[in-house]
Amino acid sequence: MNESEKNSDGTESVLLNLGPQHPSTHGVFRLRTLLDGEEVIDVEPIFGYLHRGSSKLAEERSYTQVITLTDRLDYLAGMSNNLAYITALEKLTEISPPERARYLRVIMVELMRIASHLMGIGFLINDLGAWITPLMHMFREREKILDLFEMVCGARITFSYMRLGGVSHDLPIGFEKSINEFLDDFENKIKEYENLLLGNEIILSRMVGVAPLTGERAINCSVTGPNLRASGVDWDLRKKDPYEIYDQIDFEVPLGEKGDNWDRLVVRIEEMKQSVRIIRQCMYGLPQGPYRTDTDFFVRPPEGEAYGMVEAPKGELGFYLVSDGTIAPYRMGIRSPSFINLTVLRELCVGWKLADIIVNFGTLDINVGEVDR
Amino acid sequence: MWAKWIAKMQTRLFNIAVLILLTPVFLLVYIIKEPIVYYGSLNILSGINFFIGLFILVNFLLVVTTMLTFVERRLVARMQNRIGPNRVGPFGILQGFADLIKLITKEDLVPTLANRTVFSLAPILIMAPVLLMFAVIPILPGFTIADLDIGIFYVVAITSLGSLGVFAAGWASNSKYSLYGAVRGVAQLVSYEVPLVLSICTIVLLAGSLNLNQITGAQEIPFILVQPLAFVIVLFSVAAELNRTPFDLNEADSEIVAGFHTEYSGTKFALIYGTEYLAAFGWSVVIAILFLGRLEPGVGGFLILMAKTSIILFLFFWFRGTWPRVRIDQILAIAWKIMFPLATINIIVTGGAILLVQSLFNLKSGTPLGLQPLAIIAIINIVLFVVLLLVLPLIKGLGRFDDELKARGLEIKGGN
Amino acid sequence: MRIFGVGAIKGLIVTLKYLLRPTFTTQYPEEKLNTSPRFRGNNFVWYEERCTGCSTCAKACPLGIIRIVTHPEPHQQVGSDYQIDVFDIDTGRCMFCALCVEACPYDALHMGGDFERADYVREDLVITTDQLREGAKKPQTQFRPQLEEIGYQGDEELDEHEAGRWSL
Repeated sequence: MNESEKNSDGTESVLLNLGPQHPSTHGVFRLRTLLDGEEVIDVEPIFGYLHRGSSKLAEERSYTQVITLTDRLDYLAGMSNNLAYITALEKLTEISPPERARYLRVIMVELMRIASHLMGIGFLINDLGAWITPLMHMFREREKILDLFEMVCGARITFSYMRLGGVSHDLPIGFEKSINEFLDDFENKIKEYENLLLGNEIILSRMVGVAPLTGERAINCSVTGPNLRASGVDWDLRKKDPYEIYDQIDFEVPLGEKGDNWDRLVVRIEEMKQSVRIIRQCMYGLPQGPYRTDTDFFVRPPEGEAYGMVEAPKGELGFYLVSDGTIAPYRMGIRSPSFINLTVLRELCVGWKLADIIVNFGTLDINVGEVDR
Repeated sequence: MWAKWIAKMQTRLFNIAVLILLTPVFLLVYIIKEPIVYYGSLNILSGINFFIGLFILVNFLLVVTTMLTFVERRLVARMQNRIGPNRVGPFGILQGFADLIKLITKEDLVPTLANRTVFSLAPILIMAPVLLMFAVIPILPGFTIADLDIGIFYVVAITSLGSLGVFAAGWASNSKYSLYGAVRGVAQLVSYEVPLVLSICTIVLLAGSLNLNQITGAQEIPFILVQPLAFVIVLFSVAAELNRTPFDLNEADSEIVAGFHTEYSGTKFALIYGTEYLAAFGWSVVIAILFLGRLEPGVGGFLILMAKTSIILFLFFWFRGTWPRVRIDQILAIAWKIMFPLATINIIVTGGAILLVQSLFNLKSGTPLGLQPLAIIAIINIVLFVVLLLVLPLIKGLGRFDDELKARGLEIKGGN
Repeated sequence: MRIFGVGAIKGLIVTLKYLLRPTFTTQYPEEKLNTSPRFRGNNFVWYEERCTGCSTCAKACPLGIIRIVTHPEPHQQVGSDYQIDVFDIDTGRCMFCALCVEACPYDALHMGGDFERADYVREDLVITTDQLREGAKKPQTQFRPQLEEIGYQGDEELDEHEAGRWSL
């Protein structure tokens, strides 16, 4: 973008740097924007401030130790990262987990989806300007989910819960009671969030019709996740390419219509409700049995490569593993959804106002830890 | 070397000037006493009592400002299901003073390329009009510093000088964020004065005088019942004048970091920050006087006035804790497309009602209206208010979300 | 018939209801949250009698922070323990992933449940062998299903015979 170009009325554009130190860019992230008064002409994201070299570090750690690295990619949805990596590893080694482990994995991943969407919606409304009120309410629910996770695996953010061949811990005593309490309470809370947010004229006037994204354009830009479904495209990996036990569970995939900010917000709220449904079915049908198959301590997969993908809360998360027969992977590549969803930010923002840039960025639900890896 | 010494002394002198001497304000009011005598009846106490009363009043205002920061944080925190600050004093009462002391002892940074003189003068330009506003407000009923006959007009005129200070602060900071905040701020402040003044005009018509003491005396029925539409318009216009949610895009944390006061730190920032709460208090007292009934004399009257002010302040804090903010072009659209026509309709209807009532009861113009005429006007206005509430969604352009969302198959949950 | 502004007022009512509810906050120094028995705390519980010096925990650690120095006895028999000179864990760099606890074949190393071990000097964060020998033996039940079967909640001290899957 050339900032000394004149606009049609002879004025110059302003180059504004929503810099890496900013109160509200969800992480260390830089946006160079070119503005004509209040209207946006061009937006250029610059990232890389949070790069920690996960792919390189993975080459020097054994397969079990890499699980601790994968926790930290999208640090708000650790279970999904673990599951994606283990899916890739299980394709490589062709070891399959027992049934109970599959159910446990799905329960944990759906709980994680609720927590991640709560954070996404909460920070979006915070960016809109409601001074952290809905965010605090949603944090309280997330606290309860993290307490459930602490009961199961001992940690609240960096879980390292999944292992090759199953999960690392079984459910503790008293977990069923806690999770049922939580789910009953949560359905009331979703109604409260809808009362607080979805009827509010201010939110309506700022989100309805703003920054639409057509389905065809979304497919061409490789957008996945709730953003794609909000544009009307029916693509959810849990239905189209079922992994674990998703083909035995009854749930719906909410779809939007026009792909504007309002649709992205409503799709996430509806997905939380569907997650509650999935968890209830899983807890009801949980089979008895072992939760982990015995594997070697330092597992040596046969030479080859595999790509494992899951439907993470933010999109399609995939791990590409290449093995050369030793205890550490030869190469680990990560297809992170936030990185790919970010490319569509320019199209969403051009033509709208400065105040809409941050809101659009929030509706895409981008986690900078995943963008930079 | 001299420049550095002068800069250091400037900062220290600035702090001292703020801490000890709000003398310029006292002197100003005393100096301009003489010309004001020609423009209205004056009721200033003479001699040393004047300065004592003024000193007590200004201290009261500043203490109220620091306590308001604490009260707001506590209230908004309870709405968010958490406890606010509760560590500093007993139950956290001294939190405001801790903030004030911290701000005063911070380093006073002036950006290199900023215009030093204007940068340092801007906080004074923001704070002084708000302090001057309290000259005509009967905080203690019966005692005003200057019982001007042009009371409410003086208030509106003086507080409109604040926009000059906002623009000076934004421009002199030499930063793009500040410039954006300043431009938005001035546009918003100037636009919202029009519905504010028009709505206050209706109150003045009903009371027959601009003097604040006489406006309260004329309230046989509290004017909030007689003029509900004017109350709503004044409430939201004042929220926009104060840069409060939902119109606080100037200090929008998310985009332009802090708007026109991004580059301020230390005492200058304390002045700007305090002005927001001082103005909120001041305008709440004015709204309480204009709309919520007459003032009783004595200490009891003072406490009742404070209670009414607290109600209005609670409304402001409640709005801040719940609603997101509106975008700047939508803010200006609301001011010119919704509030201005509504204020005009209000003044036409009220004027017509007053003429009707005067011919019915054979009253002369300029005298305050009695109970029965006010009741008739109240009924007319309340009917107008309810009709407008039902009619507004049908106007194309306001209720568009209903149709569009129904067409998508999504209902607005929580709206009906 | 839809009245203008009702959605916004519904939001206001939700907030007003929250004003009257008790808060969710735990005031930290006076009240503390209860952690679950599987919580991965900041210290470790080590039973020297069970430890053989095999260093599997050190191999399993992704960061390599466990330092073990052993020496064999003069007439060491095949299959018996080494004598442990140094067994340090550097909690300044630890990420508390419990891979070492999972790896220990003799149930000698367990996670502890302490979370208030902040210090002023970074070198003091290293847990030395003496601190491990003399520390309180309250293991968490992370990766130790035998402790959950006996209903252990992490509040009493366990000696080396009760803490493992098989006795010494």
